[in-house]
Amino acid sequence: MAKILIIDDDPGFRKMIDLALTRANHEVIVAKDGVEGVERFKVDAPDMVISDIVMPEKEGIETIREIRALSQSVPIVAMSGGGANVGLQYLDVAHKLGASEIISKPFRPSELVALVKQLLSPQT
Amino acid sequence: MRAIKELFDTGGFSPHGFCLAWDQFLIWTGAISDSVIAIAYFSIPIALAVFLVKRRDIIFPSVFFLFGTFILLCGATHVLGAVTVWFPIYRLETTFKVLTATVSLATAIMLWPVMPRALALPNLTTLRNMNHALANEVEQRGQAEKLQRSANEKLQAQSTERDWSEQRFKLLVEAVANYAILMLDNAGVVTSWNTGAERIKGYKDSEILGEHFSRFYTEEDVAAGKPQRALDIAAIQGRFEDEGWRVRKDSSRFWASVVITALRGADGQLLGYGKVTRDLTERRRMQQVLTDANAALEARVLERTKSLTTLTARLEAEILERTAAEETRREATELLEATFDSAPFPLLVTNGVGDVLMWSKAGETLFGFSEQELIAGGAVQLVPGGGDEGLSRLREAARSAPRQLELQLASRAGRALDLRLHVTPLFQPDGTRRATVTMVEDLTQKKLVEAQLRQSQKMEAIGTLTGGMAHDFNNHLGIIIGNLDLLRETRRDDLELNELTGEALDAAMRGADLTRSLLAFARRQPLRPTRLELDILIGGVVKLLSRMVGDDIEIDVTHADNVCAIVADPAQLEASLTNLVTNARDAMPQGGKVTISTSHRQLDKDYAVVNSDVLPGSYALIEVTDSGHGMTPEVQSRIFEPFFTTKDERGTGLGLSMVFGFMKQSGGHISVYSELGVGTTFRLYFPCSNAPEDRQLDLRPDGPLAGKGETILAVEDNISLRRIVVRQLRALGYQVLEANDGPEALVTLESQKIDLLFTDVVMPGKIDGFALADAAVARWPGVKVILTSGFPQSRFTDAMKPRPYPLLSKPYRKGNLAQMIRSVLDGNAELPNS
Repeated sequence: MAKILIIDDDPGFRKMIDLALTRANHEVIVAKDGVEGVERFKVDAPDMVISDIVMPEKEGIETIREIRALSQSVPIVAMSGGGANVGLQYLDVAHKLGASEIISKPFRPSELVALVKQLLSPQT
Repeated sequence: MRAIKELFDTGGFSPHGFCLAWDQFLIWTGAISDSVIAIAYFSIPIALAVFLVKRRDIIFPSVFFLFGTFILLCGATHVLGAVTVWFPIYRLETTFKVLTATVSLATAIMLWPVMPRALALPNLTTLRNMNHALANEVEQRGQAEKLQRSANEKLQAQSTERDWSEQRFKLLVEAVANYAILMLDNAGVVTSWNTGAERIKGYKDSEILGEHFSRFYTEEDVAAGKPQRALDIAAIQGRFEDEGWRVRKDSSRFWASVVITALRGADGQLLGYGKVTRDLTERRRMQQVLTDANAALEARVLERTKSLTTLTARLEAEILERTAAEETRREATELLEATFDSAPFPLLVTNGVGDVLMWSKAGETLFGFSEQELIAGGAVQLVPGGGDEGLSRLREAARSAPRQLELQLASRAGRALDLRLHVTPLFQPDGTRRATVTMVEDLTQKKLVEAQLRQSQKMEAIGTLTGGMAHDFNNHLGIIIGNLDLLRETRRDDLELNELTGEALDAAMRGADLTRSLLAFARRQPLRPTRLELDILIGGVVKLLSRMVGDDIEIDVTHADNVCAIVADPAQLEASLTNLVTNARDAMPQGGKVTISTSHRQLDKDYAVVNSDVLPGSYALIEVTDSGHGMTPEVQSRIFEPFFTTKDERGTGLGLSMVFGFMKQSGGHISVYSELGVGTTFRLYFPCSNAPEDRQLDLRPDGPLAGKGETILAVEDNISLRRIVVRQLRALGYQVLEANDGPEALVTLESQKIDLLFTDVVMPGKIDGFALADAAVARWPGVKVILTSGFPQSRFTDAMKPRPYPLLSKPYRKGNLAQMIRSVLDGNAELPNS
C-alpha cells in the first residue's frame, strides 16, 4: 500500500494506470501535466511518482528534475512511447537525471504493478 | 806589137796639119783617145785632191800639188790636141804646152830636194814594227790612261760631291726662308745672316752684320739679361732652346722658337754660336685658334655630353621602366598562367573558330587529356561518341551571352562525369567573337553527395514521421493493452470475453512490436549501451544463428586481432545480426554461406564527404556477407526504408530499418554492397571506444597530468582537428603554437622555443611528420616529439622502428593526450621501439 502520483497528459492512460494500481491496493493521485504534478508532489508527498516524459506545459524531464530536487529518495518511474524530437533519448536522459526506472509504452499493467512492487520493496 | 808599130808608123801620112783632118778614122780615133786620156788625166788630180783632203798628215803636199797640176795640164793638152784637129787653135795649145812644160819642170826640180827626206821615210816593215811597238806603247799608255782616268773620275766625283755638298748647304742656308740662321761670334755679334733671317727679322746683311744679337730681344728681356744668359747656357750645355717674344726691325714682335748652339773647334775652343730662329707666331696663333677651337669644342662636347648624359639617364630610366613594365607584364602573365592552372576547376579557352588555346591543369587531371593533346586534337575529344548533342549545345552556348549548361561527359578512362559548363564568349570591339572561356564545374561528387544527402534526409524524414506516429500509437496501444488486461482480470471467468479480449490483446501487442521497430528505425528506442568486445558477442550469437538458419547454410566467422572495443546495446546488436543473417538465409533458398567478419577500419575525410553521416576516425567493422542472389541498385537504394520489403507477406519491411536506426543511434554507419547473382555484403561500422581508460584519468588543471606552462607546437593539416587539439592542450595548461604543415612548423621552430612537437604523420607536401620530427630534433636536440596519426601504429612499422618517437593514434581522448604528453615531457615515455 503506497501513495503513488501519476503524471500523464493522456486521460485514458491515467485512468488505465489508476485502475491497475488501485486494484493493486495502492492509493493513486493523478496529475494532468508536470506543473500540476509538482504541486501535487509537494502537497500529497507520495511514496512514488510515475511520470510520462512527453507532455505539454512542462516536459517530463523537467518535472522529474524538479521532483528529484525536492526529494532525493522518492522512486520515480519515467515512461514514454517515444519522442517526437530527433536524437534525444528521453528515457535515457530521464534515467540519468534521477528516474529510478524507465518503462516504454505500451506496457502491460501487470508489468507496471510488478515494477512498482519491486521499487517499493525494502531490498531495493 | 803590130798595133804599137802602127801607132808609131809615120809612112803615108802627112804631118798633123795635112792628113789628120780628113782621115775620119784616124781623126776620130785620135780625138777619142785624146779625150779618154784627158778624162783620165783630169781624174787623177781630183783623186789626189780627195786623198790630200782626207789625209792631212801626208807630208810633201807641194810635190803633190805640182804633180797634180802637171797631170791636169797634160790632160788639157790632150783635149786641145783633139780639138785642133778640127779647130786650128794652136796658140792656145801651145800655151798649155808651155804651162805644162813649166810645171813638169818645176815638179822634176822639186822631186830632188825632197828625195832624201822621202828616202828617210820608213819602209813598210819598219813601219809595221814601229806600228807594233807603237801599238804596245799605245796599249800600255791606254791602260795607264784608263787607270788615271778612273782615278781622275773618282777624284772628279769626290770633288764634284764636295762642291755639290758645299753648294747645296750654301743654297740651303740661303734658301731657307722659314728659319733665320745666323752665326754669332763669342760675344754674340752677328757674323752671318741668311735669307730667312732677313725675311723674319727684316734686316739686310749690311744692316745687321757686326751688330749684337740682343737687338732681337724685347726691352724687358734685355733688361732681364736674357740674351747673355742664353749664350752662357749654350756655352755650358752646348745648346740653348727657348721660345718667346722677339722684335723685328720694324719693332713688331713675333713669337720665336730659338735654338743657340755653341760652335767649338777641334781643340774645344769656343768659336762662336749658331743661332736658328723660327717664327712661330702663325703657329702660335693657329695653336691659340686651335686651343680656342678645342676649348669651344670641349665646351660643346661637355654640353653635348651633359645632354647625352641626361638623355642616357632618361633612356636608362625609360629602359628600367620598360624592363620593370616587362617584368611586371611577365610576372602578370606567369601569375595569370599560374592562376589559370591553380584553378580547382578545369578551364578551357578556345578561339573564335573553336581551336583550343588553353586547357588548365585541373582539366588534365579531371579528363585525362593533356593541353597538348587538346590543342592538337581539338576539344571534340572531350565529347566522344554520342557527344554530338553536347557539342551542338556547346556551340550554341558559345555563340550567345554567358550561360550555363549541364551535361554528362566521360573522362578518358571512361568515368562518367556530371558537369556544369559556364560558357563565356569574349568579343572583339567590332563584335566578332574573340575567344570562348569555358569553366567546367565537376558536379559528379556533388551529385553523389546530394543523392546521399537526399537519401539521408528521406530516411530522416521517415524517421521523424514514424517516430511521431509511434509515440502516439504507443500511447493508444498502451491504453488498449492496459484496459484489455484489466478487463480480463475483472471478468476472469467469462471465457468468451477472455477469448475475444485475448485476440484483441494479441493484435495490440503486434501493433506494439511494430511501433517498437519503427522507434528503433527512428532512433528513439531506449538503448542500454555497454562496452563490447565484438569477438565475444559474435561468438555468442552465432550459436543461436546457426540453429536458426538450418543445415543448408554455413556460417563462417573471422576476427581480426586489432579490432577495437565498441560501446553499443548488445541486445540490439544481436537483434541486428540476427536480422541480417535472416535476410541472408532468405536470399539463399538453395543454401549457401554467410560470412561474419570483424576488422579495424579507418574512415577518412574522403569517405566522410561522400557519406555525410560519418565522422572520420577509427571504427570496428562487422561485415555480413552472403552468397545469395544479390539486389538491384534500385532495391539497394530503398532497403532501409520502413515497410519496404521484397519478401511479400513474409516480411514486415522493418528489419533493416531497425538495423539502420540502431546503427545511427549507436554513432555508427551501415552500408550495403550487392551484385546480382553474386551476393550481398552489409558493413556495420561502430566507432572505437576509449571510454574505460578515460575514466581513470585525472584531468583537473592542477592534477598530475596537467601542463606546467610548457610550449607545444601542434602541427596538423586538418583545421578542425587542429582546433580541437589546441583547445585540449590549452585546457590542460600548455602554451600552444600551431602550424598547418611541415614548412610552417619549421618557421615557427626557428623563431620560438618549443618544448614539444606534436605532429600529424601524414601531411601534404614533401615534409611529413617523420621528416619534420627528424629535422627538429637534429637542429634542436632538446625538443621532445609525439607523432599522431589516423592510421594505427602498425601502419608505420618500418618508419617507426629507427625513430624514438611515440605515436598517438587518432581518434584519441583528451586523457590519452594528456597522459602521453606528460610522460614524454617528464622523460618517462614508453617508446615504441623500446
